[in-house]
Amino acid sequence: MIHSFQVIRPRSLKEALEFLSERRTTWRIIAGGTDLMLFLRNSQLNDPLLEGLVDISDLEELRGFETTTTTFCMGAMSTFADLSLSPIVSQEAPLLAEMARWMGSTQIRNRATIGGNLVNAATCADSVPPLLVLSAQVSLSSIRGVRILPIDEFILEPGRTAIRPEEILTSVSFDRIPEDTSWGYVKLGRRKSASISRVSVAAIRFKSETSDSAVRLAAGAVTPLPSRLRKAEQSLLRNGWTSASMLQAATAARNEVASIAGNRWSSDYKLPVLENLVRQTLNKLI
Amino acid sequence: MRIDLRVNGTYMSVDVAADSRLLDVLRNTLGLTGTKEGCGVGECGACSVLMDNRLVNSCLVLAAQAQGREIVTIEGIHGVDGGLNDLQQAFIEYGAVQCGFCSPGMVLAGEALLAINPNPTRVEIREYIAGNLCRCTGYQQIVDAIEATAAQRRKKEQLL
Repeated sequence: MIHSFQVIRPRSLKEALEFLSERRTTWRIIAGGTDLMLFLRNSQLNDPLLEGLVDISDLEELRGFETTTTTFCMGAMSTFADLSLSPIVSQEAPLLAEMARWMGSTQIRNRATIGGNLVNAATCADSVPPLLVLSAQVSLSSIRGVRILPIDEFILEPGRTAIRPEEILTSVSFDRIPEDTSWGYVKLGRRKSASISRVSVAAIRFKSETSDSAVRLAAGAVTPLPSRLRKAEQSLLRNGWTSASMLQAATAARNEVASIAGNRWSSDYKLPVLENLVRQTLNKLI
Repeated sequence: MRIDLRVNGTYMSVDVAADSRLLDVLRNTLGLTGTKEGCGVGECGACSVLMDNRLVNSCLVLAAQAQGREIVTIEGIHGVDGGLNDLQQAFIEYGAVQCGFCSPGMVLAGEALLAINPNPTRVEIREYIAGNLCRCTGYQQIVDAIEATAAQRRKKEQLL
């Protein structure tokens, strides 16, 4: 490991942001640590001159859930255990609660945070497809103020986001979903549990809406950058919810992913599997 | 750096390297070698401990993050007389221990589960302990032991 390495624990978000504003290039943030500890171990952190870590895991301001009449907001330090077990999350974002249940293991879920999952921005990040279909936004705080970015503008490429070195991702929020909403989520991994996503599908349908965003579909771990599958969505909006049209939409999803991701060693497996999982998930939205 | 924490009920103040893990503090600084390092990457669960009552992989917790926390290791799980408790006894009776390497983590996972769910189904047990890998038993006996202990504890509760 690295000599003269330090860990500091600011007592407030303000203190953390002030500290980071001066030392943005040589310090990193640690939250749950389930990704970072591995990078530390493998000396994979991007900054060769890592002086130390700012431990934000104790900051109360980054915890908790808040509901207004229009918005649901989650503190970035919400763990996947919090997401999977909280009755509020089950009510406001059942899609997220379901995703969280299948992420990692009990031990990982007790530490891994939604903020960390997003900032790490792995291609297979479990929280991203559900947050995409929820049209979620992230709040990025620095001593200069707060920036808000939609998820798809936040994640730039695998492993890189729009976060600035002096910023902390403080919360994730989305518009509350109406009563008449159906959703589906499925994750496929090499094992039933404690496994990284190989293919995941998240979908949501606002039954009483007829607009372009009445149905939202996203797939995880099949494209370098997570994205909504707009062609499949449009196919459904045009053709309705018959089994034929859902099959059509599933094929559209497959083709869209194939054109984004190109031909990969995993395509022979992932593409037909994705098509099936999309079809299965769409069935839950009827 | 200095960290203060409570381990198995006792307050401790220890000097540790800033980049050390809770696992290192437990095993090397405190000599509590019941917690094992199976993989060091948070996948096998052999390093599981309870931190503020939550089951975590101690290989992924920075020592500094254990500041002010309450840690329970396998050394802290025992009967009132200091011997084996009911879950540990059940592990033996049901053949849930072969090489024993996963056992400390498994027992802690069992205890953590029963603390929040005194009546788990076998599926719930399997899901809860999915982060604890065993190369010997095939898990059946471990699930049996946890299930049996849960039933026994519920029975005792009813009799009280």
